[in-house]
Order: sequence, then C-alpha cells, then structure tokens
Amino acid sequence: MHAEICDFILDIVQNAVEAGSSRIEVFLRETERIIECRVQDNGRGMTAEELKAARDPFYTDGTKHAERSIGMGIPFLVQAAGSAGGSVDIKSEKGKGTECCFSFDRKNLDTPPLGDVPGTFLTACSLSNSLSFLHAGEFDLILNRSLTTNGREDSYAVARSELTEALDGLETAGSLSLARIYFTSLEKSLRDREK
Amino acid sequence: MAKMTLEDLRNLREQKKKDMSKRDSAGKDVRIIIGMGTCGIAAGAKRTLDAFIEELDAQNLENVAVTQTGCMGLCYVEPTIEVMVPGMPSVIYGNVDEETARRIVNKHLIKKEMINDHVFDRPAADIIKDGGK
Repeated sequence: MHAEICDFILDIVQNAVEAGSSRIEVFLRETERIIECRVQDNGRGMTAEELKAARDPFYTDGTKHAERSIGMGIPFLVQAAGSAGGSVDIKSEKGKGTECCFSFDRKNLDTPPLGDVPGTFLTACSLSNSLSFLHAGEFDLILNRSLTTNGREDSYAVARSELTEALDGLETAGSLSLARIYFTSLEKSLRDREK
Repeated sequence: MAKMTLEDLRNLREQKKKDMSKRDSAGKDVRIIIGMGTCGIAAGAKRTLDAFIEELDAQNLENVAVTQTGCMGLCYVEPTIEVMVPGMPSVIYGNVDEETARRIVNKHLIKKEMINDHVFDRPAADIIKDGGK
C-alpha cells in the first residue's frame, strides 16, 4: 500500500513508460479543497477488458506488463481513493493511449499526504535510465504543477527533454543532484507564494 | 532560494563541470541500480534514491551512475538496490533505508567493504528465466 499520493503518480507514469509512450503529460493540481492528478500518454492503450483487468488486484494473465506478470499500482490507487472519498477515472483506447485521472479530497481524514513532489518528479524524469524500462524507448515527460490558494493559481512546468538537454543527461549522481535542486527550487517558490 | 530557471541550471552545470575536471574521475564505472517497482515505491525507495544522490554529491562522487529498475523479486526486503563496483562482485542489498544508503556510499563505494547485514542475493536460479545472469 502506498503511503503518499506522489507514489501513485510515479506508479502511473511508470505504466505509461512501459506502454511505449513517446509523450507523457502529468497535470498535478492542488487547491484548498482537492488534490487532482491527470496522467496522459500516447502509449499502446488498453481494450475495455484489459482496463478492467488493470483495476483488479486478483487478476493476472501474465502479460499485464512486459517484464513482470503482476501489477498492483492501479488497484492500490482504486483502493486508496475509494477509502478516502476520492475518485479514479481511467480512459483508454487501444493503440492511441491512456488517460488516468484521480482526485482526493484534502479535507478527508483518510486522504494520504501529498508527499515529496520534487523527489517524485525527479524520479519520474530519470525513469528511462531504468534497465527494465529500456525497451520502452525515448520519451518526453511534461510535468505541470499548479497550486491554487485564495483564488490565485501559481504554477510551473518542466519538460524532461529540456532538463536532459540542460544537464547533459540524467544518468550520473552529479546531474541528478542538480535536477533535484532545480525541482526543489520550483516547488519551494510555489509553497512560498502560498504563504 | 529564488525560483530557478533553466538558464540558472545550465550555469550551475557548467560550474560543476569545471569543479569536476579539477578532481580525478572518482566513481566512474560505478553503478547503483535502485528497485523502483510498486513494492519498492511503497517501501520508500524514492527516499533511498534521494539519500544516494545527496551522499554521492557530498562525497564528490558525481560520476556514479544511478539508475532504476523494476521489482527485483525481493519484495520482502524492499527497498532493494544493486551495486556494481569494478573489481568487486555485484551485490544486491535489501532493506536499504536512507541511513543504509549513506553507509553503502561510504563503506562499499569508498572503502570497498561490503555491508554484510544487508546483503541479499538474487532469487534462486530456478525461479528466474535466465538464472539471474
């Protein structure tokens, strides 16, 4: 079971990478009332039956994922949202892509904490380094983050391609550390404005 | 800390490159692979990754490659990581929390000594397709 909302985001982005997407876009929106996330990809998509199976923790045909036979990310999300008055909506079209939206009510006691946004974005951006995801090919990931307080929205956006270009790759501890500073600075400026 | 721009990031990178060229290529060819499957994420692998990045940077080991993989089949001892250091056997460490990550950098990478109480092997050869090779 995941402890933070950010863990679900990372899990869904991994799914999108594994689905062979060349473009993945994440919208993470936070207001005083809700935390809402949408992950859109142009990967291989799912049929209605596959989508049903993806939500079922007790189902596996051994082919849910390319390199593994089970997948628990979506069932965990469905369970967490269900127990906290949130919602999960997944739309998918075979051959076209998938859109996964979920939201949590910030006032609900059972809503997990949002978690470490900069760390999650950094991990998501360096996913392609992953050995078991290598077959997924090159992809771009666009992270859109917004925070609305007192009716005012502040936001930032980061494209993985820009980050990779600026840092000459995201493979080494040196460049990952700089990327971490970058994400932390963007998130901090958002939080500072909230205050 | 003011909001950084991509330009600031590029400048920081250039500065770091200059600093690095003054040192020898410490950490080159060393690879750390972090299990970031659902099990790893649930057990806090993200924080482990963060601790590695922080400690490697603090120890000036910027050349170490830090990558991710899915589940290594050792869900019961997540977060799991694999360390590859030339001249040493590849080791899979389990239960790697932030403190253990720092120990791995200082002991395994720098002193070339293994941390015995966290060593776990790959799953038995008969339950993985290629015998774990």
